[in-house]
Amino acid sequence: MVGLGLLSLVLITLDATTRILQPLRNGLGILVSPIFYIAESPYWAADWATKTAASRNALLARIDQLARSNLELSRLSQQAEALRAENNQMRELLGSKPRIVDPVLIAEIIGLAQVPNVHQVVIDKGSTDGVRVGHAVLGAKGVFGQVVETTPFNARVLMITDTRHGVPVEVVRSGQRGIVSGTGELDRLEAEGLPVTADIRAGDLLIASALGGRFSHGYPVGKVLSVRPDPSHVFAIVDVRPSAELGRSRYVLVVLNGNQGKQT
Amino acid sequence: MRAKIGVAMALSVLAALVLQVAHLPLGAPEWLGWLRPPWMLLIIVFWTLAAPMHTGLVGAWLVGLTIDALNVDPLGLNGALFAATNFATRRFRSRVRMYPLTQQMGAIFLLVLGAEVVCQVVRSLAAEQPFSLMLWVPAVVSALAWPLAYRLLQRMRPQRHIVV
Repeated sequence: MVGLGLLSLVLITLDATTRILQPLRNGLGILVSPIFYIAESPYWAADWATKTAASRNALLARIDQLARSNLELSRLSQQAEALRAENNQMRELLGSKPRIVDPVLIAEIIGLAQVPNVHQVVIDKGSTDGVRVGHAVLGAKGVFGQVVETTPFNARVLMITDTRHGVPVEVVRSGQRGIVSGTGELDRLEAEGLPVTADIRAGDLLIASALGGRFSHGYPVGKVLSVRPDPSHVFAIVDVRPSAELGRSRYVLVVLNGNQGKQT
Repeated sequence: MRAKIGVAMALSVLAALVLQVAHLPLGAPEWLGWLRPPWMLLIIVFWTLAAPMHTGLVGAWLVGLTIDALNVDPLGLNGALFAATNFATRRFRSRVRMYPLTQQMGAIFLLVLGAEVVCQVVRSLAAEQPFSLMLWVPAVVSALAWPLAYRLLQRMRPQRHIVV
């Protein structure tokens, strides 16, 4: 008992302070990853059942609706293409480098961290698919989180609502910069350390500012719900509603931008 | 009998592993997550009470290590907890098996509460995770779930001469 206790203590300390246990963790991660698939299988079965049982008419209506939204989106993307070309031309005139469009990878969420207060998900793509620690992860409508751990076939994503996560942002309207961190609640973020005089107000859209090097510029992070002074009247408490549907999405996009594999 | 117990044990450990990561349908309110009892801890207590000769410190520790990998806890945290649980349960086994149901539920409550406190302290020290005062909820849920295990234990009692 004493021996095991000491061994555990040594392991915990090593794990907390160094990264030398990473191979062991990876090995164990590969070993236990089938468990996530077993736990997810009831949902797949339910999904399959609803798909099979869905009536022809409902499916046709769905296809119709998707075709319409596809048309709308392709119109927007044509426009975006033209705008991007124009923007790059302008940037060239200004002497700055053109922006590159990051390649993305669609991944399915196969598991959620089951420790309350920890907002992490497991996705079904791993280092063999090119996912690296530090890659940004997007939901359909905004920033979802970032990859914090990879095994060959899975990766763990820390969500922006986790209390240990922060995103550098800027206000679209005013360009005011700040950092938005998680609160441990799925529908609320908080902007930290902004003075009460900062140009930010309810209804402002916050986008990733690319300052940290993790999230590319321009992806929406959230909308400001309210701004109120903290008790000292020096800093503002800014409540933010995340743009991404964090509790509901099953698919996420991993942004594969090659040079960010290093973790601080 | 021996083989049967081994199979039942393996199955229950596998089931607890799956339950450990099984999640609610997307969109379910988040506070429901607090109602999750520490399945593996309860399984370990159960088997140590039911068949102590088939359980061991090293086995409990290894099972804890897989839970650490699943939860991304500091490696060894659950291992140490489970081994300690196995040790304590074995030590007080003959006494606990004589307890009436309510007293067993009380013991489970204290055990799970203690385990949760240790977990939270180590997590907040080693992984800088926030400390939460909700930790009594899993303990209450575990105590409320114990009558089921108690029934099973009672049913296994007549075969004790074979089991032990």
